[in-house]
Amino acid sequence: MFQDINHILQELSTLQVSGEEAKVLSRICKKLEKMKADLVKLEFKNTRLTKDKNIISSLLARTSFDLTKTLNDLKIRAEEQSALLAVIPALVFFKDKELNYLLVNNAFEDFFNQTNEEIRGKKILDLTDNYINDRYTICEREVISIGKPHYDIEEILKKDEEEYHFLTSIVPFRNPMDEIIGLVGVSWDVTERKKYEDELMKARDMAEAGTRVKSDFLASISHELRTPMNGIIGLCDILMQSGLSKFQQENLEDIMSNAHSLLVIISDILDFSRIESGKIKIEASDFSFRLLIHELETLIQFKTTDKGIDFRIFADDRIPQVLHGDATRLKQVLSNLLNNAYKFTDTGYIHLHINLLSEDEEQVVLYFRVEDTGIGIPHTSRHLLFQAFSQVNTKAKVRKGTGLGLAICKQIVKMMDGEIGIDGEEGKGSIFWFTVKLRKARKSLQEDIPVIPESRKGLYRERNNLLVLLVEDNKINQKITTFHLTRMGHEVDIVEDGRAALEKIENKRYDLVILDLQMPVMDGFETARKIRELEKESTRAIPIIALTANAMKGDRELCLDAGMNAYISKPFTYQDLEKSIRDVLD
Amino acid sequence: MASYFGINDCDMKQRSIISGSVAQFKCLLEETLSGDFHPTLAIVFASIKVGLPDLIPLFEKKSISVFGCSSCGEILFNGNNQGIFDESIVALLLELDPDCFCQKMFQDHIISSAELGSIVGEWGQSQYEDPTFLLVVSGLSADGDSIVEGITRVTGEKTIIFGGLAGDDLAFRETFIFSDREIYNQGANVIVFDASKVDLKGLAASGWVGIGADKIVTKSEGNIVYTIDDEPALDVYKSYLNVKDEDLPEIGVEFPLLIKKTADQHVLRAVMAVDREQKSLIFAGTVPQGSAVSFSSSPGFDIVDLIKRNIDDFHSLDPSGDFMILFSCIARHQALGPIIIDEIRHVSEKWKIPLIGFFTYGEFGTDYRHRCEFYNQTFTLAKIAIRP
Repeated sequence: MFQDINHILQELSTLQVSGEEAKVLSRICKKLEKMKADLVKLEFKNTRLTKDKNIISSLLARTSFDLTKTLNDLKIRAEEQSALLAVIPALVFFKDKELNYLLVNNAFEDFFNQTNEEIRGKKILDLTDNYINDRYTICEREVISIGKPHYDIEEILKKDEEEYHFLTSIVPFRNPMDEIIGLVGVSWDVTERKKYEDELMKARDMAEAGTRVKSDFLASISHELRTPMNGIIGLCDILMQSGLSKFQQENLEDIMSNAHSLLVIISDILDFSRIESGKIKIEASDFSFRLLIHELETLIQFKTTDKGIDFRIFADDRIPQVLHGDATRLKQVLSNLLNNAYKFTDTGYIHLHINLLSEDEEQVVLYFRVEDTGIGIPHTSRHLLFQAFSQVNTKAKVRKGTGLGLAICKQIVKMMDGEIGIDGEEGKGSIFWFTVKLRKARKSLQEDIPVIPESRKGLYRERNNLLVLLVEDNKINQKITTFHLTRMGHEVDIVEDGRAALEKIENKRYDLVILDLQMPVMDGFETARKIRELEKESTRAIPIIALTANAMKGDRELCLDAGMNAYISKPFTYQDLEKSIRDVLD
Repeated sequence: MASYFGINDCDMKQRSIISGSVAQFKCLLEETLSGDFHPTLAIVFASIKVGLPDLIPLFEKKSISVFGCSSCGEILFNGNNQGIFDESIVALLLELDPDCFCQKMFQDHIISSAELGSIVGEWGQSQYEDPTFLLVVSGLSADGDSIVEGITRVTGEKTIIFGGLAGDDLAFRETFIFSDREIYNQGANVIVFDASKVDLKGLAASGWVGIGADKIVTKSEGNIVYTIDDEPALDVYKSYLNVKDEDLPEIGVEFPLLIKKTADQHVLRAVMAVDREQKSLIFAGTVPQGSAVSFSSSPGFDIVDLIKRNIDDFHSLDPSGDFMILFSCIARHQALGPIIIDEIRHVSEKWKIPLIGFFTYGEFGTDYRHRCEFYNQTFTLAKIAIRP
């Protein structure tokens, strides 16, 4: 047809016409040209449509195949998911935005004894009357409104008079446009676990109560034992100075030695029971590290010299001079390890190495190592070492002690965020080591030294015959303290409680008050506070030395807070008392 | 073949030329430049078959800036010169105030498309405080998305950009851009307008629709897709369209992939080349790995009516202008055949101002409704109006 039109156009172009005929011919030609153009378009459309038809048919056929395959896959997946939901022992549910159930699993159906069809469209309160959990409802609303998931919400509901406990997790359920259209939840029945947990809790409470009772009993009995022991040691001390025969002197020394050993045992039991019952806490304050090392050196040096053992301390120069921590407890651990080393070493050396393990702006980690050339510890027994009441059998002779020392050390080191351990070989000596974390001091130690009343400073150098008020209810202690004070050349007035002491002070000018802490009527702390109150109106400030039965760290702070200037713990020796008096008056 | 002389409402003088050969074009150019006509800018689109290297010196001697590139068919609607042409040269010569535009060639042999975009953006910003861009880009591996991203990273997301990827009459071998001095097979020819003096606006519309189920691009790098749903991309393409090996890549522009960017936004990417060894498809734009894609097709000849409605809407909003450049995807020409002239003529009839253009391998456009994007398959119209 296209060619026909072309042919016609060619024919027409040969025609010789003019005027009106030419106009008509021109119109015909234009019409034919348009027909030709339309034909071109039609032909293209036809070709195009055929081509498109083929390709699009292929695309649709493949798409149809894809869809069928996808539908089959979806069906299989739906069956798998359905099977999975069916076998999950937890209660699984879908809810719409109004919190009506849409779909639940088999476990859910079984629990409420209703089918999916019966449950659909219902709310929880339609399924059970015995359900109250406002928090759960709030959680559900949060899931729906802001998409916040909630996990392990506790739910309790009653069925057939039985209480069931559930842990439920709920998360938002979204459509492909990421809009929340409901929630999905999983509830685990934890009723049996809850019962088991309750029983465990009860058992734990009972065990803890038992431990507390045991510890309280031990603490109480130890404390009570210390008081007569103090008396025995004090009186022996007095007797020692009363011109005895050599036989009497030797026997008395044995009594003293055994009494001291007994006192150490009692102190260990007291300490351990207090740690176990949680009554001991780390009491941190700024302390001079150098002074602590010096004190240790003094303590151990004279013993090792007697035995002919080389004792040395190697301390890292980088360790800050002033640290913040519980110096008393740190000293206790070190004394224990050094005393153990002393106990089990007859020849050779005992070396204490102290290294700075790490340091930052806030704190340091120190590493202490006590090395000796003693009998050593067998590898097989090391696991017992830090357990309470355990003593390791060595090839050497059996040593004395409660077996509590290292257990106490372990507890203290643990409280100081450290570790403790042992190296070395049996027969070649032991290496005990531990680490502790200590904070760096924020201020210089000088700022924290207790203030000694100015008016009394230097008094000791001036006079030896001080007028001392001894406030003590225990007759034996009265006797021992008076003996020592009198021997020092001081005059002593004795009262048995705080109230009597206050009356005395109001009427007489004393140079020193020695104050027991535990007394009837008015205890030592209150007495010290009252004395300081009385002194507010005068320039007098009588030095007060506290006498404590326990060398507990907290007591020192309590004494200083109450206005006392120093404290000494019982049992004390003549030298202890004299030094303390010198310290507060000199 | 002829030249056309005309004067616009704003007294900006313009003349256009359509020619089938360089020799003829030379004569027509001489004729056009006689008398009181001193063009500063020539917009030239030409088939690779006319001999581009011979064309360039014609302009160099006349000191006319040239914004030109090779094409897949040329478009000119100006006075008596009206139509879509093959294997020809179309030129629109304009007496445009040199203060309101700058033209520059950029080569990208050793830089990435993103770097090219950034350099173009920086250059544009150094010319005018508020630049708008016209660009044509050569190189079958040019990544239009990266070029847009590079420019807008410098000049801001709202920058107005129009342009197209040069063509080579569907040979898919080598495309060119050229000025009055240089010709590059990998680079960009850019005009930047001073937005305070020249208003550049336009529209970009496609009409292609997705067919079939979504598939996932499981391995791709830039504009090369290696696997779709873990199968070699070339095998998937051939198998779904039921086409023979020799039909590719030509058929690729007619049946592009539709890439779903969001639930309601998608872009089309036409196949530009195939790597038969690797069984991969090379697209005229980035196809990110992990994208959900589907095949697509023109919905039929009604698409022309859809584009006409888009043109009417744009015209009712902005009926003024001095000249227009059309960047129409070759896929439209392939799909619509002789009917495509209807949508182009509709533009000319609406505004009645000179319209020049070419069939492209990809289009840059800032639709008056959206931000700038790199497209395939679109009818992208840039309208330029000199502000009074």
